[in-house]
Amino acid sequence: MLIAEKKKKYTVDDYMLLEEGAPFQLINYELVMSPSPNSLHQAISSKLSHLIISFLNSEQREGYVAISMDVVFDEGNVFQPDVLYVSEERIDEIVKDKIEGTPDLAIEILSPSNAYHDLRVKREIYEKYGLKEYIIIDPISQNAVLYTLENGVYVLHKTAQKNEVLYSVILDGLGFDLSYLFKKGQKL
Amino acid sequence: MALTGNKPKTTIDDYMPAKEGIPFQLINNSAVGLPLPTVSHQVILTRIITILLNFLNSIDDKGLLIAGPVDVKFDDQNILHPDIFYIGENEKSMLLNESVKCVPDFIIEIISTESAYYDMRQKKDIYERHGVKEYIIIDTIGLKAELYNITDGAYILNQEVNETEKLNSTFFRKLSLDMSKIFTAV
Repeated sequence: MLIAEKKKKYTVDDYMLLEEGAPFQLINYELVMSPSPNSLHQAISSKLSHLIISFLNSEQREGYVAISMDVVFDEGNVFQPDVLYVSEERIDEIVKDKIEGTPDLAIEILSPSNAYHDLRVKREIYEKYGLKEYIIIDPISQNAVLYTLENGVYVLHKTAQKNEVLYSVILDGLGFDLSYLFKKGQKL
Repeated sequence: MALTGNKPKTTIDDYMPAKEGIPFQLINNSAVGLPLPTVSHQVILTRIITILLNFLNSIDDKGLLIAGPVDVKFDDQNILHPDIFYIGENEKSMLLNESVKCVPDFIIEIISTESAYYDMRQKKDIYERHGVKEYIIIDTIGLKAELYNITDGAYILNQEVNETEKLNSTFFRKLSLDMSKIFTAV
């Protein structure tokens, strides 16, 4: 920051002292407060996790799927992707009390209050720690983008508009129908 | 401010009778109010304006450089307040007192956490659609800057620099923004 140069740096030790469920994420050594999400945001994260779980079941595959689950990336970064997926082979390795390592897929649902972090800071951390697939859902503009890692750098792999389906790359065959995600109800 | 796609739309008829000085932008048919800019934002804005004015004077340019917030009407769904914009000599005649009704050639947004969603997504898409030739985003949080130019109707990320580097304009050849001078502490 230009003016407030003497900002305190928070670490994972400070973060662990917070009450369970405190509305903070530790992003780049900063405690970032996230307001409670709105009803549309929560409906979308529920549907996303349901679609992933249904897909895994239909393929008879194992995997770990969670909403708003802490991921410990390093000393200065412990935060919750809106939805995350860890492949079967890596569950034992990284799924502990918190997730201690990089998931295979993370999805963030944008709002004006979190967009800076989702579009920039978290994206950089995901890239640095090798998150293979990063999806950003924008319920306001009603579109979605999917980034994949190529030689350690995120490449915009696909975009989808509100009447389209966004297909995952690492979960081959899984599609997210955006008109379904953006409607209020849950019926397919 | 947490707008969702389901909110009733504001139309230009709701917006225009609100006269001057109302601190709202109309973005994709939604009225968006943002908090007043911070001291950092205004310091950076002043520094950039100074560099740009010196540059324009040095090349004897007859265009007009304007610091926001003022209304710039892109279409009936979008009346935006760019932080800094430039209008060429030939379009100057289209300026009116109340609002700007032509598309600027060059726009700079200085982003904060509150404005980032709009500056990086919705407003960027609107600028692209209307053919703003050069769009620069100054990130006061991450201390970075990026520059987009229109190629075949779409923005291409032309440069991305950190706080120690220089951003070289394509639209104004020979204009270089030294980030260390823009981001230096007060």
